[in-house]
Amino acid sequence: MEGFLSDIFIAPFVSMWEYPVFLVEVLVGGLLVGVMYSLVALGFVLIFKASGVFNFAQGAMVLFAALFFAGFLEAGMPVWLALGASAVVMVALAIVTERVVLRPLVNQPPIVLFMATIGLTFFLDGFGQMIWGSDIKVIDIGIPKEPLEIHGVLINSFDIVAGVTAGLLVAGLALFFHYTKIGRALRAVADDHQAALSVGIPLQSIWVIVWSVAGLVALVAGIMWGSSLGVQFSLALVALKALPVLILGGFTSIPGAIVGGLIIGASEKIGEVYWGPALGGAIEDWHAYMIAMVFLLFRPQGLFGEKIIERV
Amino acid sequence: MAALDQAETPDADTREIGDVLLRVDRISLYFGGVRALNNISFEVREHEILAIIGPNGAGKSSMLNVINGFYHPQEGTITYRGKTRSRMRPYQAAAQGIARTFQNIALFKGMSTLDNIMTGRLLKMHQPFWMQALYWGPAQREEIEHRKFCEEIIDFLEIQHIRKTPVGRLPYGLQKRVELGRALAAQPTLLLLDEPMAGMNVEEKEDMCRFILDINEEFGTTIALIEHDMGVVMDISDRVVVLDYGRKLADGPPDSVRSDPAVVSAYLGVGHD
Ligand SMILES: Nc1ncnc2c1ncn2[C@@H]1O[C@H](COP(=O)(O)OP(=O)(O)OP(=O)(O)O)[C@@H](O)[C@H]1O
Ligand SMILES: [Mg+2]
Repeated sequence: MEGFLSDIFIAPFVSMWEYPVFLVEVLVGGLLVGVMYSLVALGFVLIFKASGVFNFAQGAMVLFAALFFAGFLEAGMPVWLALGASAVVMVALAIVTERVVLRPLVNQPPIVLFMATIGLTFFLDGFGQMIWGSDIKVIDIGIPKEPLEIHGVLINSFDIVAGVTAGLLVAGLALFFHYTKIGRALRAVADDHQAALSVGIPLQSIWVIVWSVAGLVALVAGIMWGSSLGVQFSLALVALKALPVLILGGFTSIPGAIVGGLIIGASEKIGEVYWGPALGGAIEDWHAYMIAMVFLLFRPQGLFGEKIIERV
Repeated sequence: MAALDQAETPDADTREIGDVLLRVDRISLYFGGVRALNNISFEVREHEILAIIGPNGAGKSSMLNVINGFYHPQEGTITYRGKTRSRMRPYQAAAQGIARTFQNIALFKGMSTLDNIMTGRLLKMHQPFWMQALYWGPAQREEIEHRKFCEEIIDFLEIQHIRKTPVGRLPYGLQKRVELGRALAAQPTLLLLDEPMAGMNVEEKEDMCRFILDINEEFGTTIALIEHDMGVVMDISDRVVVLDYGRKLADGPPDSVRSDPAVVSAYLGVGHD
């Protein structure tokens, strides 16, 4: 018992203190993975803000996008063409979703829309596999996988590429939604549908834009995760990692999604490395949720405290 | 306030009622069994102030909602600036110069006063989004111009002191004023006001009346407003349309409407303030 307590309360900190370089390695690795979580969480937040829909299908969209990308590669397309073609597929998906799911259900209670996205999930899983089959696909776009040494710190170069790509995308989106009229329109729609309509914001175009962005975000996440895990059904579950991020960051806050992703990514890695052995390993599945839950007790409105918006 | 003037507005101050700007023709609107509007026709002329009055549930708000495309009538047509349609769409209405305020204030509660008003100007912003994202050259100039314009509105409505305040925190009377500012930001041709003075004290009402008259006189904006306060209606409107149970009871200058027996009995029957 004493040994166990020391393994939890003393040993991890001693080892952090004694091997700071290793701690930095773990931390950086965690942050880079965290950016990916931010990316997926961002997809959720955008859709939730703009349409009040909790998009259950976000994970399925990741898998769907990755399937198409991998399929296009297999069909012999060069990487850039496969990327463009899958992006077109995701935008088309956004247009169809707006037309077939959102528009007919406008002004229905959120739970109805939520159910509709569950339906969308099954459709995406089924349709994607119908076209591309259910075999595991490999995505290899030539991202190096060897560890890289920077100032004595070893970092997985794949994590760097993924992290930097996701970081750039997140920064670009933040810029886009903060400084453009589309961003202003999005905030207006999130705040009050009726008022937004009255100043001439075309609600349906905003929905298409937001679902397209969520689709593109899913595509990038799908490519990155698909490259390291292979394109298979479990990819859809990766999106579940975004849930604790959302709890932490708040469902309506873009900065919350970004910072929340980083926090979850980093603490997940640190927990896994330092506390995992004492707790019998495999803690990465649940301890992000635990962090989020504990956090929730103290700040139910999430990191950045945007209050929960009631909508008409 | 020169910048607030509309291009098509002739000389200020020499306000003259012009041609028909909007005509609603035999509009009927149902909600299930409820007939909110029953075969309603009337006109709004350029530069006039038209008041729509009537007891609660008469269909006044529904009428405005039909005009800016929130509700789609089952029968009838709407002719605006010479183009006849069987229904408006909110985007269309806004793009063609119809702006409005709401009976139950609909502001962007999380945004500041200035941001609310800037959002009212969204349709006037033409720079492509990627230029805006980079805040580059023409986009920057455009943003500054719009900002300046909105500051003028803020001065006009005397709300400088709450420029940066999130509107959710403002008292009711000021919220109504910000909402008017947001509608003005679009430089509307036709301004629809749904009970702009409801719930205000006497002083606030006087301010609001003054703003409405100034907007109408200085910028030549055509205004259709709904108001329960008969004193106000008689004071500021050029013409009055009276609705009751979805029907039009009367339509004419304030004095003749006031003495119309049908109107008198409708109002006595309901006992309105
Ligand atoms: N969205 C809606 N759904 C169902 N019924 C509605 C809707 N909007 C209005 N109505 C009904 O239409 C009728 C007219 O309502 P409206 O709001 O236009 O009245 P009003 O003249 O503005 O009244 P008030 O002075 O109370 O604002 C009422 O019977 C109302 O219940
Ligand atoms: Mg009303």
